[in-house]
Amino acid sequence: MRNDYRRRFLKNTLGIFALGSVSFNAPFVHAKSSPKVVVIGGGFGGATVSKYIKMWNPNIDVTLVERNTNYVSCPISNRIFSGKVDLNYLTHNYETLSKKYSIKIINDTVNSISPKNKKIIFNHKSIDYDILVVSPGVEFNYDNIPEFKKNKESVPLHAWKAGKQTIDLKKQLIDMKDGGVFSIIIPQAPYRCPPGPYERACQVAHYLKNNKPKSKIIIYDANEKIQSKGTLFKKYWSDLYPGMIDYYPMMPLRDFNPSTNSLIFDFDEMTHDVVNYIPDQRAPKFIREIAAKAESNWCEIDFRSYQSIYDDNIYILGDSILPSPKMPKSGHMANSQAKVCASAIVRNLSGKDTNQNPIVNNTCYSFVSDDEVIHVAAVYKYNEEKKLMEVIPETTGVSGKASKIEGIYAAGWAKGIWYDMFG
Amino acid sequence: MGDQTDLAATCFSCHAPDGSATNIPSLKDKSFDYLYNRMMDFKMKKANSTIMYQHASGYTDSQIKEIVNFYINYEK
Repeated sequence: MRNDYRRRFLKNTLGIFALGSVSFNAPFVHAKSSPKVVVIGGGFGGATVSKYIKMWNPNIDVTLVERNTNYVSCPISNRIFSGKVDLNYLTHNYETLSKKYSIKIINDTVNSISPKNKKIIFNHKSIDYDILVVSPGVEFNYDNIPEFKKNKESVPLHAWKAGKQTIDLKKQLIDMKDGGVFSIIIPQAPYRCPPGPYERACQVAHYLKNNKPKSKIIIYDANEKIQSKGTLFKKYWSDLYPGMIDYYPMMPLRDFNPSTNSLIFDFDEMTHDVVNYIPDQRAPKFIREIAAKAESNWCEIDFRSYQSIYDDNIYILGDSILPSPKMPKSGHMANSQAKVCASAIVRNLSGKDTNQNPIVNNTCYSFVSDDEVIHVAAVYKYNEEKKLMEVIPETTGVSGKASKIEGIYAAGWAKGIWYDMFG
Repeated sequence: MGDQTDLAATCFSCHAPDGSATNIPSLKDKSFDYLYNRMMDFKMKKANSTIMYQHASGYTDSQIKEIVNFYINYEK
């Protein structure tokens, strides 16, 4: 069956080359011109897949398309709120990928993709691809909140893509009066970084405890319960920040009233001093419209390669995919998927079969104070029958308790994975 | 590229292809026996760990051998 996949792959990719002159066993890299791999998105999935394709086969032509010249890491960015890190610490560039790995970098914003013509269309130009890898993260969806759909200017800060908004939200926190209310709105899962909102509550609480101790944090969660590390978060909210954090599950935001600055829920209208609104999320339109089912928010892929089920020449990674059960939309997961994808592309371009038994893993650290950390981790293997990645039961679990040693490991994890992406 | 590299690549996020790491235990310049025994001890929960007992449990004994072989034979 995978031979079919390989033949399909070769047939489709070879279409643009002289098919008659290259046999199935002749690696592409020995053909006159290497196929052109273009990667859209320079984050945990895209930077990693670009680097590993080049590392595993330097002869493949790789171009990385990223709208920004720098990358700001979302993981660890909640520590901005406790004041333990700054934006500089989280910011990375594409220089090493360009110089050491000879990856061509294009800083531009993708408008659309033409799968038929194998073109990526920007505002003022287009480029061709033979193989396209898309790892664009998430698009925010304001359609479900009438006021935000009508008036984008009334949308509060999300700070869910790290950068200027993170700094702006921290400034709002600093400017808030002692005794103020800081509200966090959590969307219906799946969303990027399941434990992120609850960790943010800890980091904001750490700041408030030391600076404005009469203040409150109110969390309105559209979900029925805390989405990750729930028992641990509840314990540390209560142990470290007693009486400061109120958590309301099953409270999806319905609308916003700009004249009273209030949040409208099914049965309540709530006010606040600062609100952090984490919007509903989905795969960006340019990829959703060619790689997701109608009405679906996420793109469907083959977990052995991350190849789109709709287009043999397109691969999709990270937050934009319809995940296997219990597979979080996390930076670590995207990084892990990227290696499976890079391996599949490199193997296939060399005429080799795709690995039929891929393994991916996830490690996610959350800071509950400025230096104590809890983790969740799991290893996943491919289930051929279900065509999904499934958690290996004995690998799933969380920390027994928060610790400073895990705080040190979390910093080591960040340094390690940033190097894995950009170094 | 091969199965051994695919397996070892699942470790690179934290431990890098050459095993070097800052703030987390390095795998660099370690012997086969040391790395294999550590992984097996994590897997069997004989050694204390924060997170490695979970990761080590994700691999069969022969997969652990492959990963260790990758690291001890790593050449820049």
